[in-house]
Amino acid sequence: MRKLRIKHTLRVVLASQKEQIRSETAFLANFWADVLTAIIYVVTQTVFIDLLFRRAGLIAGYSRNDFFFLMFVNQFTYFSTTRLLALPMFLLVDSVRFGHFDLMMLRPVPLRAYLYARAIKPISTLLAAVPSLLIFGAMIDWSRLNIGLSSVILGIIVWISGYFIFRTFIFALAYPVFTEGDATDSLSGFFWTASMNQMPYQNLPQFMKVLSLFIIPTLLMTAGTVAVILMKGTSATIVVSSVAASLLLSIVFKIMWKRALNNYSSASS
Amino acid sequence: MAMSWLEAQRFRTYPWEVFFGVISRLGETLLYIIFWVLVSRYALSGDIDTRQIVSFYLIASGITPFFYLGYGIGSMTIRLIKSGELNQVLIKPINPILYPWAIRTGRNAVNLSIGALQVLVGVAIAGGIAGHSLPYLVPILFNTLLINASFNIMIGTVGFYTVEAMGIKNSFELTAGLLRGSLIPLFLMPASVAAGLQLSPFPASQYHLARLLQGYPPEWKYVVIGSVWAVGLVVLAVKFWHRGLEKYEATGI
Repeated sequence: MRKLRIKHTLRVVLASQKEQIRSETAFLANFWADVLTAIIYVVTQTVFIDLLFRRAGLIAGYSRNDFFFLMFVNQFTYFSTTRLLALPMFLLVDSVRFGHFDLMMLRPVPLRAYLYARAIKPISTLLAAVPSLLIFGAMIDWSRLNIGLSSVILGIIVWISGYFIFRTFIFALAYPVFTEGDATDSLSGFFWTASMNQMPYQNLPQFMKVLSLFIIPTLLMTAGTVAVILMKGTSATIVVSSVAASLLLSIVFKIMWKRALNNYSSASS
Repeated sequence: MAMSWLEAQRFRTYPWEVFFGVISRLGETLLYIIFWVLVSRYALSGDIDTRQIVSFYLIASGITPFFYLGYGIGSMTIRLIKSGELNQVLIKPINPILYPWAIRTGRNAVNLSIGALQVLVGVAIAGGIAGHSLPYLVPILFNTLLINASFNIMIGTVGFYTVEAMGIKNSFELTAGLLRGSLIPLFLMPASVAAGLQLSPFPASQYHLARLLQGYPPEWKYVVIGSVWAVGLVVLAVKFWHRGLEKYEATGI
């Protein structure tokens, strides 16, 4: 029974993604503009890092090469969070505001899977993310990075924890649509969290480390992950605190989702 | 003025917009300040002054909404053209170039308030405005205003030629951020790079004013270069706008 349900969900996800690809390829100019912006971003950031390190030498033990790695993880985090987690929340807010959410709930498919599959744009995400990741990836001298297998595994654990924290954080920003009728302003406000995350995590003030576990998860996903992978400072504290925070916030997410649906059903029925 | 005031009234209806607007601005400022504090404190070279860099960042980001350095006017013009709403502006007895300024200034009320606060704090950290900076104030304000107005008009005009003008606007914004010294100030760049950039219009669009308010006015020759760019760019922008508008009128209304 469970196997059948998973198969059915996968079919729905695939069908939604096929439809997304069709609509994306109908508006080619849109994603070429995305690609152009991503490439210009990479160029400006590269020049920025180069100029900064010509002046600074080393920053908190991070070399120019380490900073390029930080930029690489930052880009990966940015595309993962905005394209895979934030876009579905924008769709959620719009569908609740304009009444399409009723139709989504009526469909015989898992609601969250359908919502995410409808919002994620595979082609533009790949086209915008891949060139910048390739360019940053090519600029890193991977052999000179101080990494080991265990540090990479721990870093991935921190990043995944941050991903789950971000999922709750972004849903919390979208939540007011179920109580106030709109959440466009709160949801749009998340962009500031990604404005500057390329920092040496171990040197951050304590309050910033706490904020990174709840309010600025992209800081944990970028700076925290890199600090653990490059073995800068105490990795154990970062790993334990991020896993604990993600477990706690995953419970919060489940409770909020349930309450949101209850609010919506009682308001719309 | 009346249109701006009317637009600003929206914040009375949408108090959450004010709240999240304030959180966004303060949050972004906090992240940048922490970054520069870490850079100045932990840089191996040890010659980056924390006070100077933090006050520069506060002033530079504080003046951003006043001169539309994020090219919000350009974005709005692009949207007006793309949606066809420009038709309604053109048939009214108002200047279509100035219309987005009036609307956007009202909507920008929160950003302007926080921006003013940032500038005040930045100037206070720098030790107040120096007396020797005052003769530079008017020409530098003139340059900053005209250059950014020209960039906004030109970016908006691109909307007449392509539906994906927002991508071009975003790319230009990123490039300008680096060239005008808001991503990394010119005083932290190698001298030859900084001197080369001073020949372009970008430093005069933000860096000169920010440094002036810190008590470090640019050399007069760079102010003059900025003025030449300012006048030239305004003439070019207005011509570009009129050519774009002719194209729009031919196919639009």
